[in-house]
Amino acid sequence: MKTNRREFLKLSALATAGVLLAACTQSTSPTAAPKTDGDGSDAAPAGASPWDVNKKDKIVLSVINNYYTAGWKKMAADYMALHPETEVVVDVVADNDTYLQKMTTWLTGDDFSQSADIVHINFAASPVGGYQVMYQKDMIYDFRKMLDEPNPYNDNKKVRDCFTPEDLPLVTVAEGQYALPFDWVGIAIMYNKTLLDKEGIALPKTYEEFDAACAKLRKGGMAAPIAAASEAAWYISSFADAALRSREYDFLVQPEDGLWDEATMAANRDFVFDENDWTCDRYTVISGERVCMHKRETKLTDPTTVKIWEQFANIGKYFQENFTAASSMEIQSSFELSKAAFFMSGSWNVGVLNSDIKEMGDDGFEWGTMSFPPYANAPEGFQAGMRTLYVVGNTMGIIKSQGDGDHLERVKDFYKFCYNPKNAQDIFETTLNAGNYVQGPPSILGVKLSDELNQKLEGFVQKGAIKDAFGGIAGQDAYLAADKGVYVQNLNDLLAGKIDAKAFCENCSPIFMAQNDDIIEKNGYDLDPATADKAKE
Amino acid sequence: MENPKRYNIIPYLFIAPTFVLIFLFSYYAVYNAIELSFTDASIGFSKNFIGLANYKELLNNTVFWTSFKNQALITVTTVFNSIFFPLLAAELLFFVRRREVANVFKTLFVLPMLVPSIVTILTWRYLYNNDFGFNTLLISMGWGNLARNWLNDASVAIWAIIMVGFPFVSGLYFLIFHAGINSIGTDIFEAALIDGVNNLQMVTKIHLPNVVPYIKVVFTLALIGSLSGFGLVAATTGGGPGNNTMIPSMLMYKVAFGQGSFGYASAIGVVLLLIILTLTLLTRSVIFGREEAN
Repeated sequence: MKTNRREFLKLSALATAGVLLAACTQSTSPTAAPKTDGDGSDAAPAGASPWDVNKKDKIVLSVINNYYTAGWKKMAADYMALHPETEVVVDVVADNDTYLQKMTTWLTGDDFSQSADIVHINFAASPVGGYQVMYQKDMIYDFRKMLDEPNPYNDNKKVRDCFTPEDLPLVTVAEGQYALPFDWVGIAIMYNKTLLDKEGIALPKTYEEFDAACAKLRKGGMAAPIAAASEAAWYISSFADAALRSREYDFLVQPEDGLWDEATMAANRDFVFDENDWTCDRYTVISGERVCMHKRETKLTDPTTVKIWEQFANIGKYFQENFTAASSMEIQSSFELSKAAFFMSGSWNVGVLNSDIKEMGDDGFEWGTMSFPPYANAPEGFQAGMRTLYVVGNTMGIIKSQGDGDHLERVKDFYKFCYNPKNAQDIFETTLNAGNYVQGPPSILGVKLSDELNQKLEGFVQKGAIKDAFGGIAGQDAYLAADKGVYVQNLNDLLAGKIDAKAFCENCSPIFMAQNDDIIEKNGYDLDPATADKAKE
Repeated sequence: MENPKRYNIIPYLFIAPTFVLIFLFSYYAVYNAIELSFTDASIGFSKNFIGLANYKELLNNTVFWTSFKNQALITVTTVFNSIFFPLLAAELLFFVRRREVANVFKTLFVLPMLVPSIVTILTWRYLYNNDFGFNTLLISMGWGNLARNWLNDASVAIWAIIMVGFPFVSGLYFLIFHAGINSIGTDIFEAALIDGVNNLQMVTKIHLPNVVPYIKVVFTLALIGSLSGFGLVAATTGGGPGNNTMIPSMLMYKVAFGQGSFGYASAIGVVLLLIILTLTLLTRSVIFGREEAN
């Protein structure tokens, strides 16, 4: 009996100590009391952690391999050291296709509770049917609620203080803010300066000089002066942008349209493109129905479309054969081996390219990046300046897999842990040190890359970005998947000079129209913008 | 007294789980594909019965016929390579008299089986690279004019795919033929030697007639493998350049997972299934029919 009493007292003492320890943990936790001064929807009671620190939980961050993988892993480890009650699992998925399949599995049904918590939200939106549908299903978190909350990992400054006010709307739809911008991605031309110097070629400042430089290199024996993979197709969009942006209004949702929403489409009203401000159409909204009408009317064999393809053929003739099939890695090696003087690629290759060329030591070369040079004498109907892709890159959103409450609070806290100048800097540096690529210049204020890397990324930075819909309007990749071969065959023939741009457009017109008909059918467009449409169910 | 019926049912009970799983994952999938092929099933949309529309569209699709021509070429060469080269290797090994040396060669022939086929394919993809691999070799030998962008040049791409895996001594097929030759009774060899046959006669008169059942197995395996597999094309050219190396299974994959048209993709799958079945049965009865009758 005595023994039992002693045991009871021991257990009581242990229990009391446990409660006290738990209370201490709660009050000394670095995440304690992240107060909210926004709309209060996510407010936590002052002085208490918004989640139960005595309860273990697991949050999952799902990323595509090489997209800051090393950086995210370090963040997870650092966060778990601070918050042992929350396990952070970084789920690394092999490639884009597998990731998309995973998103489809997790999110297309009514039950999305098995989904990872933080995902590449652009990949998640695609199979679900867009951000609007995701918000309708209460599937994703609206970061507008978080923007005015303090970030305990950034001296309690507001979350929004890490971003410029102009950047935040770029990851927003009418229903909500689906991510916070992390970095930028762009397309530019990388050049081998050593090789150009050796050939006596000055860095091209105009499109015509670029053309002449490539012609000279080819004459000198270089079979493909431009190493190009599928990213180079963005230049079709650039030519299309130069040809079509002056009549952008024709493709926008207009006030008399059934789809018009003043709150989200005010930028469309009486829109006229301003050549002195390339950001002027940042918030304009393209009408899918008007685009389909244009395609059906012109069959994409109209003189403007033909001229766009003529321009692409002129530069594409310097690519290697069948360029769309080349992987970035293959053409990167062409560039590194000095088999090509120019390399049309995305900013995501800069980090790796920089470290590769450094490792080459004496066999390395001086290189840099330049934006797509403007026309000195633009073809009739074209603008001189060439806009290219330059958009928010890594868009990580939050899936509300467990609804609101304790779990979501942990996910938000981890997000804040990563999205602040100090830790975002750590993500970039860890990624680069691990030999992974960073996608492009950071968009979190205060994050600094090395001067050397910044210099390499200079060619990508531009004010305002291409309206990528223009590429599609000209027929870029405007085919159903099974028709890709027909498109590529004609594209290869065009670049090889076997057919001209007019023949290309005529040959591809049936497959362009097949895709257009498919879009019309699936979206239920009645080809009358004034009336509402009912998408196929 | 045990009920004999109880004993009769036991084998069926043992085989039942396997059969249920095969039914679920193979036969039900085939049934489902046949059913889908008569609909406009598309990812994210409800499906409607559309009769034979998918089959009509398929018959009018020029890419489908191109893919069949490519497939026929790949299959004929694959089946030939799968039989000829492993059989040749097995025959050569038979005539190596020293057992230790023969064992070393046997191991060397079989060892590559340990390398996953996708690794072999990707290695070949690098050998075909425009900037290194075979081209470097050709240039260094002074035959730079023969260098090609092998997988991206429409005139050679399909032949480049066919040559993947040269010298085609598949470990599995080699082992089948090796086992076949060694299963021929020694009394037959002894009788042949007494009759004074030379090595060539040994191969043509003794070996080949006796390994026909093994050739038949390899033929069927290679035929089905070639018709139903698409890893080789997917990992090298993806069907390109253009549709120059497109094969039906690749087309089916693109239609299903590229544009989400599961109804149409199922129709391709059903036609492919019918062709594989017909070819397998035909070849077994026509080419090997006489042997079976004997």
